[in-house]
Amino acid sequence: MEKLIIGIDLCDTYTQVSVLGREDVWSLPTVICRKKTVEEWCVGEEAYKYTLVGEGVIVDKLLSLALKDGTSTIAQVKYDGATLLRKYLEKVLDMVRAEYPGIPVAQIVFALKNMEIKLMDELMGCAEYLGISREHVHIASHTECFVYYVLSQRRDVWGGQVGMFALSDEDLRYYELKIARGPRQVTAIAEHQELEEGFSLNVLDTASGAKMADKILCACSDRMMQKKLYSSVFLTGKGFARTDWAAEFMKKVCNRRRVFVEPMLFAKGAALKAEDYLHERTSYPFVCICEGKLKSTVAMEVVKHDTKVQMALAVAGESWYEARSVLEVILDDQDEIELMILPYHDPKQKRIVKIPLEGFPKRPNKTTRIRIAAGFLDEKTMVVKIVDRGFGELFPKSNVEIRQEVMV
Amino acid sequence: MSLILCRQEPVTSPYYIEELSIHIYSSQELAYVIYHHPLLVMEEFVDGRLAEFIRAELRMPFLAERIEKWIDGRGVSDELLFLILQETSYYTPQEQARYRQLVANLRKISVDEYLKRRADYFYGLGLYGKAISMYEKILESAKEKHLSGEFKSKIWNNIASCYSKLFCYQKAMYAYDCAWNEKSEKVYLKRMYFLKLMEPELELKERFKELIAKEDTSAWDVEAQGIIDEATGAGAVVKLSQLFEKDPLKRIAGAGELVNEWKGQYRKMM
Repeated sequence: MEKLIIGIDLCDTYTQVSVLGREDVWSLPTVICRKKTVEEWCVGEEAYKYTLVGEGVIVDKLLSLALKDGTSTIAQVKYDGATLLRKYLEKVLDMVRAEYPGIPVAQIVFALKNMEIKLMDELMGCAEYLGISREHVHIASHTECFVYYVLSQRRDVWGGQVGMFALSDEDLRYYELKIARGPRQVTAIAEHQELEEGFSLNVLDTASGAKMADKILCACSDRMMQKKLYSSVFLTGKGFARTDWAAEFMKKVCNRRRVFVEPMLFAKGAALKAEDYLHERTSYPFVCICEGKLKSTVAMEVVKHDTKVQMALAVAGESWYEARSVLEVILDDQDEIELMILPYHDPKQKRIVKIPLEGFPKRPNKTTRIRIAAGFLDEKTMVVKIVDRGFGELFPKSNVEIRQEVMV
Repeated sequence: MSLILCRQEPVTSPYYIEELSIHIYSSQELAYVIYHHPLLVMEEFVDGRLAEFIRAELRMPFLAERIEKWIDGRGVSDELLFLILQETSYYTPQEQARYRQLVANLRKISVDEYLKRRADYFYGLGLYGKAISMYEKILESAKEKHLSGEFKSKIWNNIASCYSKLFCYQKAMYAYDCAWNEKSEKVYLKRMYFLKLMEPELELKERFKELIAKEDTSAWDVEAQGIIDEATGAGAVVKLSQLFEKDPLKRIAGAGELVNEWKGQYRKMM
């Protein structure tokens, strides 16, 4: 192995780390412990060990802590959530590096249950702190990792509809993937639903609890799958590490369907996505519409070589977190910017958003150059920043700029 | 109504246009200068240095090569200006056609009139030294061919005006004298009178003194006073007074800056 390609499924209760080319996946609770007497840190099961013998103080729910700017005081030292998350990921990576000494990290993809910009920014900051360049770090939703994992399988596995149940201590979710083959491109449309019937996995320790859990899953499968045709069904999460407790559910779901159990699916999907970044041409030539991806294209009409063309600021299927674009245009008898929002599902439902250039200096026609920069705060909120660039030394720039949020 | 997409042109060494005292940072600015300053660019503007800027900084190697080949094969031509406008796509085809027409019309006028217009253009830019030498060239050529007295008087008048701007009042007085000799217009007398007001040591010739009536001088004095009053309230003068109200250290620093600025401006005029 020359380079490490890593997928990390990072949740509040557990973390799974997959290295491409390695069959086993590390799985550990998302907890960190600091020894009371010295500033030494340990994570996962080891953290529990030190805590139980009274030598350390443990902190759990690290993602929530970082998200709400929480702090934890250990041995009279106050640590903020972001610092603890950094230390946790440092230890996790040390664990991987210990097995692959001297091998550099080529790509990391973090798989997250919820794509929250604050957490994503924290993770990018963590990567920088760990000496991994930002361009080698990406973040994907669980749904997207599910898509990558499924589409890396044989074609007959995903030829039609694919369903998946994910059962963990945190929740019970149902995922669905459909492949739409268009004349120009293939689109993978995936979505998930959080099921209210989620339960703690502790109930599986007793026979009655297991029976009840089995019944819950049967009811869920009846409701979600109905009589739909599936090419395959996947079961993932710690809850499906063993399936002997869910005899009825397995019978139901396996009826005339292929069922795959892969408890570490998100981490593996993340590693597959990480590998794809290393290729010049993608191994997954499809547009992925799912959580964490843009569902609309945002474009503007510009004149290029005397011809009107549409210039995309963001394209449906792009990761909203990574979607950023900058372009410069010259105003030709125009005092506003017109953005076209084209939903992927129905481009005919085009929406126009106009941003008036209020406060911009009055200059002769065609002597105002503006820089338009676009980025996203979340899947539906685009931030557009328009800056006056003047026209060289002929008409010097002002400091005027406009920042507007656009719902896409 | 439209938005013109700008090419990626990360210019690190901008192109300096001395006559306009500006640096050019993009193909659009280059097109703008060509379009708005035809009298500047119609002579000796497109050359190897510009071609190199187009190649290295604007990243338009094909255009640069076409320009170089054209110059090597056929010499400099207005066609090169049209080619740049076309390739930069900053102006619409209609605007380019209008520009072609404008250049063609300028080429059609007589050489002396064309030279005068160029000199007037440089006068407008404040390049008085350059304008004077161009006006003088026209007058030199007049020795070989016939130019009307009216035309020559206009040339002398403009030379006088240039010298006035350069504070060379003696030379300005001489030029107005020549302008009067070519065509006796009262306005030249008035300008000579104003020169005398600005520089009292100047001597107005007796023959001119005889031609100026008392009521003329009264009216011109009123006019001159009006101009002086207006100038006293001008921004630059107010700024200067404010500077001299400051404490000595700030005053000296400010005055130093101002003098340097004036020196720069004067050098450019010359």
